[in-house]
This record gives sequence, C-alpha cells and structure tokens, in this order.
Amino acid sequence: MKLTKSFSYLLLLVIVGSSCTKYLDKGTPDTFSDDDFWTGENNLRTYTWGFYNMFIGFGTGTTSDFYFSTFTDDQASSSFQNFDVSATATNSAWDWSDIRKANILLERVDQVPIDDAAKNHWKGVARFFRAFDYFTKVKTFGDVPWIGHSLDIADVNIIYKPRDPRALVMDSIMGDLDFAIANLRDKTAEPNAVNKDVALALKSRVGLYEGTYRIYHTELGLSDADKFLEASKSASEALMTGSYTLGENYRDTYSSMDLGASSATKEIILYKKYVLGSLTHSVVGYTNSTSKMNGLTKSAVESYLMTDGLPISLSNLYQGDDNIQNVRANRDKRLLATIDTFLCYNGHLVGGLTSTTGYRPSKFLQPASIQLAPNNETDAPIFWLAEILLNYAEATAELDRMGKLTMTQADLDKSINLLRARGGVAPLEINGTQGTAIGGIAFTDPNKDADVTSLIWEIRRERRVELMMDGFRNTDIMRWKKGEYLDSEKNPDIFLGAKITPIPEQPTNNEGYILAYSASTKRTFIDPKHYLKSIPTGQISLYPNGVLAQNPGW
Amino acid sequence: MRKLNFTGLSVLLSCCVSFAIGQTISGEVHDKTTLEPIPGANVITGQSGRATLTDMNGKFSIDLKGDKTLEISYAGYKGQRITITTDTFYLIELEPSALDQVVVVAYGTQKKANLTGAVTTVDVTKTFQSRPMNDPTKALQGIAPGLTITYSNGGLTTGPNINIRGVGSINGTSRPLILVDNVETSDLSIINPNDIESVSVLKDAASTSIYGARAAFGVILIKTKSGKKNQRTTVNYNNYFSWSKPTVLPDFADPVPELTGMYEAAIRSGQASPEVFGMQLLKLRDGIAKWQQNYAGKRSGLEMVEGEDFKFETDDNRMYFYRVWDPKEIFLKDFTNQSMHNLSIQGGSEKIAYFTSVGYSKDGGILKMNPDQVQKYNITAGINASVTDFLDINVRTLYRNFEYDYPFGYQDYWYYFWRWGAYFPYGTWNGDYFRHTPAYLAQANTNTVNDNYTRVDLGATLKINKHLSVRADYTIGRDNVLRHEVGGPIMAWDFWGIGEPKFANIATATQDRVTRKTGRYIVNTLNAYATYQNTFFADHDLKLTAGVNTENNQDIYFFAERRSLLDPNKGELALATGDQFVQSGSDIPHNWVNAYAGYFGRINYAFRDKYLLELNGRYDGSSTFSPKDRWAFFSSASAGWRLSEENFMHFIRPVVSDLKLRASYGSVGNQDVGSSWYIPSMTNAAVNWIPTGSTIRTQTVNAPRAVAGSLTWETVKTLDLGIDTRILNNHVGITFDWYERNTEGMLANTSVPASFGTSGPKINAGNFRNRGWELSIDVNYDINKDLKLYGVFVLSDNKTVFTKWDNPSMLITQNYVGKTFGEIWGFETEGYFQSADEVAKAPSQASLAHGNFVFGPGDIRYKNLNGDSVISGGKMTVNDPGDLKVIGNEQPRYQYSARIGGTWKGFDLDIFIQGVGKRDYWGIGDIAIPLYRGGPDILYAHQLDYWTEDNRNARYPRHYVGNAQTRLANMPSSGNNYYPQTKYLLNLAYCRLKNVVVGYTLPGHLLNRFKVQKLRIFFSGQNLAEISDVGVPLDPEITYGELNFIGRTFPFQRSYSFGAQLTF
Repeated sequence: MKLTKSFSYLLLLVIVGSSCTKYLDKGTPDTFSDDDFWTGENNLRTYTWGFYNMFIGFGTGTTSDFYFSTFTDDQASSSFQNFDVSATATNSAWDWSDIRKANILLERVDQVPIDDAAKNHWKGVARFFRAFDYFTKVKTFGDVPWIGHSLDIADVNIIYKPRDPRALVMDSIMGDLDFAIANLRDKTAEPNAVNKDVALALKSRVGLYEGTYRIYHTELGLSDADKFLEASKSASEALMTGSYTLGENYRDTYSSMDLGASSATKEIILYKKYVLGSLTHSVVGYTNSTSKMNGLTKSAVESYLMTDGLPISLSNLYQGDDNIQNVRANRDKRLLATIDTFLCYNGHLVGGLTSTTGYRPSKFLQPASIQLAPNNETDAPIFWLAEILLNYAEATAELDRMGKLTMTQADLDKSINLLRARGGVAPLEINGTQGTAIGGIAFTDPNKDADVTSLIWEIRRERRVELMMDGFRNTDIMRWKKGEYLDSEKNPDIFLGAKITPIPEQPTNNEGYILAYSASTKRTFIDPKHYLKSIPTGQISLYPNGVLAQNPGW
Repeated sequence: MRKLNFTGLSVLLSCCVSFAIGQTISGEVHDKTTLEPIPGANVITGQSGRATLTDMNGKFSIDLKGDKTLEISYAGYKGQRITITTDTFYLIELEPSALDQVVVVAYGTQKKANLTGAVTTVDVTKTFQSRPMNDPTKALQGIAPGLTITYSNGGLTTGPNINIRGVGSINGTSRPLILVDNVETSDLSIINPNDIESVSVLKDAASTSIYGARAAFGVILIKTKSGKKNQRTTVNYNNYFSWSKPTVLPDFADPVPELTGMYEAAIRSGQASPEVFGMQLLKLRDGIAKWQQNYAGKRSGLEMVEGEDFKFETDDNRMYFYRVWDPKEIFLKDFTNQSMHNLSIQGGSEKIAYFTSVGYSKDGGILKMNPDQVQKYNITAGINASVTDFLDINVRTLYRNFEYDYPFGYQDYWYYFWRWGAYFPYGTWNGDYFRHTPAYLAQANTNTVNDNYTRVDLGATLKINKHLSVRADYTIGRDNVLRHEVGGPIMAWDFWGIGEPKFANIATATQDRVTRKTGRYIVNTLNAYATYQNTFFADHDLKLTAGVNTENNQDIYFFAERRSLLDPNKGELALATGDQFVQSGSDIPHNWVNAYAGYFGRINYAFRDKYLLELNGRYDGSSTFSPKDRWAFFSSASAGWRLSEENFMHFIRPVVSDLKLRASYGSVGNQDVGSSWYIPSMTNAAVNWIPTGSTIRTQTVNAPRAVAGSLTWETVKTLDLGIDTRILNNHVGITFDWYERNTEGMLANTSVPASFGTSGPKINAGNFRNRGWELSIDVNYDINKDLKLYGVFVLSDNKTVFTKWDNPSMLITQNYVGKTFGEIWGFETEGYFQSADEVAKAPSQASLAHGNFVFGPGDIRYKNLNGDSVISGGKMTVNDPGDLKVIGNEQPRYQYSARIGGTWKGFDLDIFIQGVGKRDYWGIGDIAIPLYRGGPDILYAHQLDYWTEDNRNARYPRHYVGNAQTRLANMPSSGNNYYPQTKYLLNLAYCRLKNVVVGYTLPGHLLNRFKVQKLRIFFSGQNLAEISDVGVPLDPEITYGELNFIGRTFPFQRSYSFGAQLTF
C-alpha cells in the first residue's frame, strides 16, 4: 500500500510536469510583433508617425534648429565651426533604419484589410519618407547604396554592396516622389500630415537641388539637369495654383503660437506643432538669454535690399552702417524683422544680451511664449509657400539660362515679387537675357558673383534673405558649388559683424567692424573635399577590401 | 533563542558506569561548549531502534528493550554512542563539529564533510548580527570568496550588483539565482536579516545545475528561521541605533582662484566674455574678493543682504552673487540616523513548532532639507506540524512593507548640488530662496513609494518509509508597489533670465502634476521532489533525488498622470484638471510574463564516507526561447576523495584532521539573455510630433527587429578543482578552489554595416572563458575557558577573456577574441608639453583636439607608442590601435576580506576588513575631469592645482572649458587633455575597515532574577576607515553619478551604532 501511494505521488509529479509545453508559451503581451501587427489602418498610421521625427522643425528640448543652422555665411556661431580635418568614424546620417522601416511598410501594406486606395496612400507615405531620407543622404554623402527592400541577414550581396551612383539614387528618389504624389490623399483628408501637397513641396525642393547640382558640379558629368528643374518647376506650379497664399506678415511664419490658426496659416503646407508640457524647443530662449547669440554677419545684413529694390551699393536710400538706425533705414522689412533695433556685444551688453556680431537675431522672438529654454512652444514651419516660390523662380531662371524656356516677367511676378512686396521692396524686372531692372532701369549689383548672371544673382539673394537662418543656406552654397563663400579668407565678411565705435572689450578690425573671432581664426574651404562629408571610417572598416569607397579628398 | 554555535569543537561524554536492562532511563543533552541544553536531539537505542527526541530542556527518557547502547545525534554536532550502564540518568555533552555541520544544498542538505561541489557557507551570526543594516546583501559584501557585491553609490535604496565568480555573460545580469526558502528572490532587502538561519553560496556547475534555468552563475541559498520541535518558548528582542556621515567628498573651492581659473579656461576655449548666468567672471571674482574682505565671518543665517551679498548690476542687467557659502554645510547633515527593532518568538511542542518575528527599521537620508527616508516593517511567521506519523506540513508567511519617502524630483539634486561654485545663491532674500537647488528642496512635496511584499508558502513532506520521502511546496509571492508623486509650483527669485529677478514659479509645466504608478510582481513557484536514501552493505551510501520545478512570473506596471494641480497639497488624480498621460519618456507601462520549468534528478553516492560521487541532470525549458529551441538538457558530475580517511594516510592525522580533494565538471544553461529574441517584436516609442487635434506627442510602433532562424540557451560549463582541509588539531581550516568557466554561445548581434537598417539579429555567437581561484582560511583557538580567538581570511580572483566573437576587424571598441572583459583602452601619459617648441617637435596631436582646442604648452603630451608622426587611435583595431593601449581594467581583482575577533569572559570583539586589490575606472563628469561641460560651471578645490608657467608639475593641465567630446568613435565621451589615459585613470582599489563590533554579554547571575536568559550590548562601526588612492576625492566604491557625472550622487557613509540583544 505504501508503495502504491508513493507511485501515485510520483505520477502526480509527472502530470504537473507534462503540462509544461503550454506553460512556457508566454510571448510578449505588451509588444506587437511582425506576426500580429498588420491588422488595420490605425496601425499603419501609428507606424508612420515614427518617420515624422525626420521633420526637425525647431528641434526638441534644448535644441534650436533654424537658428542653430549656423554653418553658413549668414551667422557667426558663438562657438567657432570649422570643416572636419579628417574623416570621422561615425555620422548619424549614415543610418538606414528609417529606410528599412519604410521598406517593411511597403512590403506589409498588402496584408492589411483595407481598400486599394488606402493601401496606395500608405505606400505613398512610405515612399515619401524613403525619398526624404535618401535626399538627406545624397546631400551629405553623394553616392550611397540604394536599398529598395527590407533585407534578410542572408542578403550579404546587398548588405555589403558598394555605393550606388548618384544618378541611380536620384532617379529612385524621384520615382518614389512621383508615386507619392499620384497616390497620397489630399490635404483635406490628411491635414498637416504627409499628403499630396507635402510630396509636391518635397519634389519642388529635390528637383531644384539636383538640377542645379548637376549644372554646377560639372565633374559629375551628368547632363540632364533640365529634367530635374522641370520636375521642380511643375511641382511648384501645382502648389502655386492651389489654395496657398502668402501671409501678411513675414515674421508670423517663425513666431506663431499656433501655425494652424494664424495669419501665416494659408502659407503653410506642413508645420510642426509645439505644446508647452509636451513638446517644446529653445529657439526663443537662445535668442533671449545671456548665452552669447549667433549673430548675423556683415555679409548677411548687407545682402538685404533697400525698399527701392536696389542693393545697398546702388541705392540712394542707403545711409551707411555707422549705427544700427542707419543700417535699418529704408531696408527690406524682412531685415527689420530679423535683426533687433539695437546692437549688443562684449562690453556693450543690452539688457544682458550679447551677440557674436552685435546684431541680435529677433526673427523667432515671441513674447507670449515662456522666454527660457527649453520651454518655447512657437510652431515651426516645415514646408511653406515662400520656399516654393523661390524654387520656382530659380528653376525657371536656370532653365531660361540653359535655353530650355524663356522666363517672363509674369514668372517673377507670381513668385519672388510676391515675397518682395511683402518685404516692402520694389518688384524685380527682367531685362533682356538674364538681366535685371528696377522701374525700367537696368542694374547689376557690383558685388555680384562673376560666375552667375544678374537675374540668377538676384533670385539667389531673394532666397538668402527670405530663408535667412532657416537651414537652407549651407545646402544652397554646396549645390551652387560656392564653397568659397564659407572660406574666411575669400569671404572675410562672414567673420565680421556690425560697425561700432571701438572699445577695448570688443575686438574690431581697422574699419571698426566687430571681429566675431580672434584675428588669427580662419576657415579654409577645400575643393572638392568639403562638398561632401566623409564616409564614416567605422563603416568602411566593416566591409571587406575597401568595397565602401571614401569620398574624394578624405 | 539559544545560539547554536556551529563552529565549536570538542567531544565529551560524562556518565557513570553501570548497567540496566528492561527499564526506563533518562538523560539530558547539552552543548559541550555553551553548556546549553539541546532540544530536539535524536536519541535512538542501539539494538531495538526505539527513538525519541529531547524536550525543550534537552531532557529525554526512553524504554530499553535489552539495548546496550544509545546513539545521540543532532545536526551540526558530532554524533555520540554511549554504553548503557546500571545508571538510570545520563548527562550527555555533544560537541559542535565543523565536519558534521549540515550544509543546505539544492533540494536538501548535505554533511559538509561529504560536499563535492564548491559551496561556501556563511557564518550568519558574525555576518548579520550587530551590524546596522536592514538589507542582508550589504552585510554579505566580502564574506564569501568569489561572491562579489558592489554598490555604485550610498543611496538608501540603491540596489547591489551581485555576481559569483565574476561576469558570466555579456547578456542579462550575470546575477546568481538567489533563493530564499527555495523561492527566487531577486531583491534580498525583502528579508529581515534577523530571520536568516543559514546562507550557502553555491558556485560550481555541480552544485547549481539541479536548479537549471537561472542558476548558471551560481546560487545563493538562504534559509530563514523556523521553530524547532520540543523547544521551549524563547523571546528575543534586539535593536540598534546608528549615526552616519559621508565618507569622502570633494571640496568646493575658494571662488576667487576658482573664477580666475574658469576665466582663463573660458578665454582659451574662445569665449570672448566668459560668464555664468550673465555674471562676467572677473567682475564676479572681484566682487567676491571684496565681499570676503568686508563681510566674511560676519554673516549668519540664510538671509542675504542686498547690495552686499548680492547686487543687481545695471550695466549687465543681471544679478551678481558675492556671498561665499559652505554648500556642504547647507545641504548635508552632520549625522543621519538609523534605527532597528526586532522581536521574535519561537518554540515547539512534540508535534508543532513555530517561529514568528516582527521587525521595524528606519533609515534617514543625509540631505538636510527634505531628506529621504526608508521605513521597513517585516512580519514573518511559520508553523511546522507533524499531522500524522508520515506527514509533516508547514506553512510560512513573509510580509514586508517598505516605504520610501523622498522629495519630488524637480531636478537631479546631487547633480545640481555639485554643479556650481560656493558663491551661488544658497540663501534667501526676504525669506525666499533664489532659483537654485535649495529652493526646490525646501519646497518640494514629499513623494512616497510603498512596496508591499507578501509570500505564502505551503509545503508538505510525506515520509513514505524510512528511506523514501516526497516533499512538495507551492509558494506564491506578490509584490505590490505604489508610487505617488506630486509636483507643483516652486516660488523663488528667478535670476536665470535677463533683467531684474522676478519672484515667480520656477517649476515647469510638466512638473505641475500628480502621478501614481503601480507595479505588481507575481511569482508562483512549485517544487516537488522525492528523496530516497539508503545504505547498502554497510559501506555504500546512496541518495537519489528527483523532481520537478516550475515557476511563472508576471510583472505588470502602469502609470497615471494628470497635469495642472488644483492644490499641490491635495495631489490626487481626481483633483487635477490638465492633460492626462499613461506614460512619460522611458517610463512606459509594461506587462512581462515569463515561465520556467525543469525536471531534475541527482544521485549521491558515498563509499565509507571516503569516495564521494554526485551526478546531476536537468531537462530545462524557458519561455525566453522559441518552442523549437526551448528545451535543453544540462548535466554535471562531481567527485570527492577524503584522503584523510585512508588508512595509509593515518600518519598525517596528528597534523591533518581532514583532507578532501574535489573535482567537478558540468554545464548549466543560461536563459537570462535580456529578451525573447526569437520574436520579431515591434517596440513602441514616443515621437516628436503632435498630430492635428492632439496636444500631446504621438506614439509610434517601431519596425520589427531582425531575428535569426535559431537561437537558444547560452551554455555555461564549469570545471572546478578544490581541496578542503582542516589542520592543527582542527584549529585551522583551508579551502582552495581553482575553476574555469566557459560561457558558450553567448547571444550577440551579428556584425553588419548600417545599410542593413538595424542591428544584426542575435545569434549564439560568442564565447568567453573565466578563470579564477578562491582561498579561504579560518582559524579557531580557544586559549582557555575565557579567551577564544578566531580569524577568517578570504582571497579570490578571476579574469574573463573572450575566446570567440564576431568582430573580424578586431575593433577595440567592441568585444574581440583575446579581449579581457572590462579592459580600458587609453593613451599613456607622457607628462605636459612645457613649451611651444616641444609641441612643434612632438608628434602631432591635432586630430585629437575638439572645437577651439589647440594643444600647446601646459597640455597633456600623449606618448607615441607606434612610432609614427601623429598621436591617434589608428584604425581603432587591435592590429592598429594607433597610440592606444590597454591601460587598465574596471573589473575588481584580488578581492579579499579578513575577519578577526574573539571573546573574553563576557566581552566579544569582531573586526572585519574588506578590500579590492586592483580596479581601474575611467570616470567622466566635472569632478573627475575639470570643466567637463561646455559652459564654465565649477572648479573644485582639488582642481585649482593646474599648469601655469610657474606651476609646471601641477595635478592638472592648463584648463580648457568643454572636454566632453571625443574624436575617437565609441570611446568614452571625454577628449582634448582628458582622453582615457594612465595619468587620470581612477584607482578604485581599497582596503576598508568595514565593520568593528564590541559587545558585552552580562553575566547570567545578574539576569536570572529578571527571567532574562541573555543580555548583550554592543557598539559597532561601519566603514570606519579606508586606505585608497582614487585620484580624486571620492569614495573608492563609487562608480555612479547623476547624468553619468561620477560622484554626483548619494555619498557612502560611515556609521556608528549601538544596540542590545535580549533573550527571555
């Protein structure tokens, strides 16, 4: 009997144990997996929100993009910025995670039980962001490997493939954008999210970029620049004939507490919303604290026109730069919105404020926001009409110069002259072939870059002043192949600031202009090295036999 | 409660010689050393096999049926056989015996003499008694060879890092499995140290493999006290009261030289008009110097005098602060208190035994304003009952309530406490603070975490016959954690913006909130096993164990927050009106579930207690792996040879009383690999985007992670060779172990370039090998009846080297074959450049400079190790590391401890020293690296000794503001003069006087009339002194700091305590 009892207990042990297989099936209840996620449109939308981190806007927390995009001839950064001397080991732009995410979305959408139009919309979103991400890569690195589908670890031939030619990558980007434009929902269905208009805006930007890049970077040997310029022009036109019109006030775009409901709203194609307590930035704080501000350079301030439409070198209205009142007199209203009414610098702090150049950037200020970093909640424009107008004018002028079409006064009047009108500046007139006039009188800026025509020079000026501190300038200089603009010996004005009565605390040059940096500081542009970033050496070392080639000069 | 001294010795039997047949005899069993009666001892007659137990006074009586002998045995004592004479009363004194000590091992006990695995037992009395610690883990530091316990700071709630024999895997925690009464207990602080009866540390595969699943890196087995049958009721009360103060802290500098140094450094880094909060550094310095002349020593209290202590300087439109404070005096108490009270009652009758205890402890934090505080209550109770001849049941409950109170975290208080100099405004103006840490601390709401842990264990032992028994127990553990955080406005003079300071709310919108967080941890454990034990042919002892073990656990956490409090004094969710959140940043709700199961078996065989063999096997399953890779079989074997039992070895008996050789080899699976990597899971994350119609950041689901076709258990194989001996008439015991532990198939991401788009899938890819040794020596000498001395010395070391890793380029910033775990790469420091000429002639260091930094006179000269013309990291590979080399290792090496003590009459003394022979560390942050951040924040007193033309052999190079960026990818984030290098490598070796206890036990005759059995009073000191040379003024045990700035955290403390132990 005792033996039976002991056996029955042992039997119990076995029974308890044998239910273990199911007992161990736990999975991950609080996390989706590839096997159970693709069930509905809400899931797709949630998945795609992750891509929106690419829209940096004014940044997050203690960052302050726009104002912090200082590696230009427009601003003198409080901490001196220079080109990399040697190739870096890492670069956060050399990252394919968003492309992988987009590729996976493209391959999974068909599993989701929604109609074809909806499927195509979400595929369009995936291809929009794939294009957006690759555009950043091409700008940064030139040739990059094009990865068009999600990879398995066994796909070694693709994982380790060399960089694809720029032409292939750019064609793929344009293909993605065309698909997105054809299939994305319109802005009423997807307000302030990736929609048809947002894709058009990106196409306008990408087309101009690549078209001009191919024109000026002749070393590429790519002759089809016009194809990209035409693409840009037609995308811009589609937006210009749509419902977008310029807001009344230039500064509203940059300092609005709510870009969804302000005078600037009708200009906005996509904006980034900030809400106190949830998502904030520091663009107001950095231009409103005792931290030394990244002031506007002499070069930038002098690029603004007089109200008569002429550059300072030609206009009778210019009163010189002996003091800030004179600098501001009779100027483009956009300058008045961008720099403050006083100068502040070492030894001459105004209300505790100081700037590297004396000029205080005031474009982003908003008294209704908390003034300290990182609690600023003004909304940031991502795509807006002003850039589209500038893209249109520049693409049309370049096509005109190439003889592909004839640019007309109407082209100027529906693009940059709208911006000039808002700035209180007389309209620009076309004068013959690539020439310019104001009020019927021809003029050419004596400071014009000899490499470009007067028309293109004035259109580029328009782009510079309209998009001052908006993060476009460095890319523009690179695509125009004008790296020398960033070279302090070829372009000394980029290290100079306002003209002041010299005081011991603030170094100035012989003419009394503020020196933003010590006199010995210099920045040298090396062609072609500095047109592209180095390929991260940490990545090159992962490839066998140098399959991943370094960029020229590095 | 009677203290059973397991380490005593000596045998004696005293009885009268006579003879008696067919009658009842009686007797009394005593401990030979203490002369205390032993209740519950087994008394068995020699021939008829009649058995009884001694009662609570150690007395027994038994009928003889012609028996001529009597055997008396009790765990931990050498058994006795006496010959029956004509006497009817026998006084028996049992001798405590180390060899007969019973050691708790996996699913059972084992005589220490017969152990074949590497097992260390902890002397519970000396380890836990008289030490002011409410967490048993703290007391275990340094106690057992091979058991490493470190704390990264001195916070009240800081958890330990625990490992046995060093790091076990690069994945997971490498923590040992900690079992309290056979149930996994990851946080030992739930246990009342006073309730611990025994602690065993199981180190090799042979000892642990039966636990499988999570026992890959050793097991700490803790058994809590339970009542003994036939024990009379005893009541114990003990307490302590303790006072603590910080060990080592940096000093704030005199602001005048500090600001001069900061100014020079800021100018050097290109800041044209260096300032801090708009205060121009030189103007500030001169103002402070003036203040020191006029007002130093004339100030008391916190109120600041406008125009003298601070002034609004209209030129700069900024507030300037001139008064110099003693920040440590303002922030830190001289001493903080701890106290503990513990009461236990135990006893037992013939059938039922019980144990119950209640404990309370309270620890106070070191901050002066709004200090944190821990209060802990423990209640435990257990009953064992023999319900029938063949069935014992037991029930045991454990309840722990832990309450931690702390100020609302408006900022990282320690980070900001150390951030700025002594001139910062620590005081008040019109009774209100300025915007600085004191303003927050003084006004912060007190937040609370309440952690209730309950465990109930129901068990039964079925004694089927003399040889076979079955034991089963089922335990449920429930841990409920509730956190309540209430922020709200902080009113202070805000001088951070430009212009006149405004009296305003300096808290942010996100801090105007109430948050309640709930965590619930559930664990259900079943252990059921049968044990068969028998002796065949007198010489062959066999013991078989087989059973099953399952555990499932669930960890649920959720979160509710609402903004815009109506009244911070009523911080409840229903009483706030703003946005509502269910997560914040990385604080995300979760629901984690895991399950483990295993079938196990063990065979113990002993021949004449001389040749010992043990075999273990376990078939293990874990929910961490996919169904097809889930189950695995692991086995181990160990053998021992008690050489001293051999006849041919008898000649050594006079010197060597015991000598045993041990060897074991086996494998255990590790499933603690961080995640269920086989699932292509898609984590979620917040996005920096607020969609139309929302006011909060949206969520996204990330792309699925890449998974491999197959991945399974990591296998940990251990070879252990050991020797145990007792020599010199049993006075000295020596144990030595050598081991090699290979961890094979460690999960690692496949190495892929970025084009893959995510980390390569985890595969079983890497191996490393850990070799080490452990030595333990104990000495016990009873000089005479009054004076007894003892000593314990332990020393251990291990080193882990990678033997397989997928890093074909041999990048030094990743693991590679041949890498020693924990190694630190850096430059060798050659000294300072003393002239521009020297810089020009030396190999260029230009590629190491960041920002405006240019190497010049007064800067660090890195040694040219590879002979080329530049100082660099080369390709950052083993074959081309440029001028880098391995400069140290952050794993602790040569860990040791020594305990010496003794008793003399009623006095006892115990001294415990603990240390680490070698350990390096690269610390970052301003305390270790001057002017680390980009803005000039602070120079501490030790950083005023820096290079100038007149001070060329300074402690630090010429200062420069902003040293946080490295130009070497994936190296620690410090650069310019502060790349990891030999000169500034922190030395965390130390030798510490961890604990000293002096006690006095009052003579019994003074106490008897009060019915008191024992009264002992003691004084104790913790961390009383140390020998160390860290390189910066920090405690050698510290490796943490808020925001990763080493040292900016709760300091380690010295404690002085006294207490009493009372037994009725």
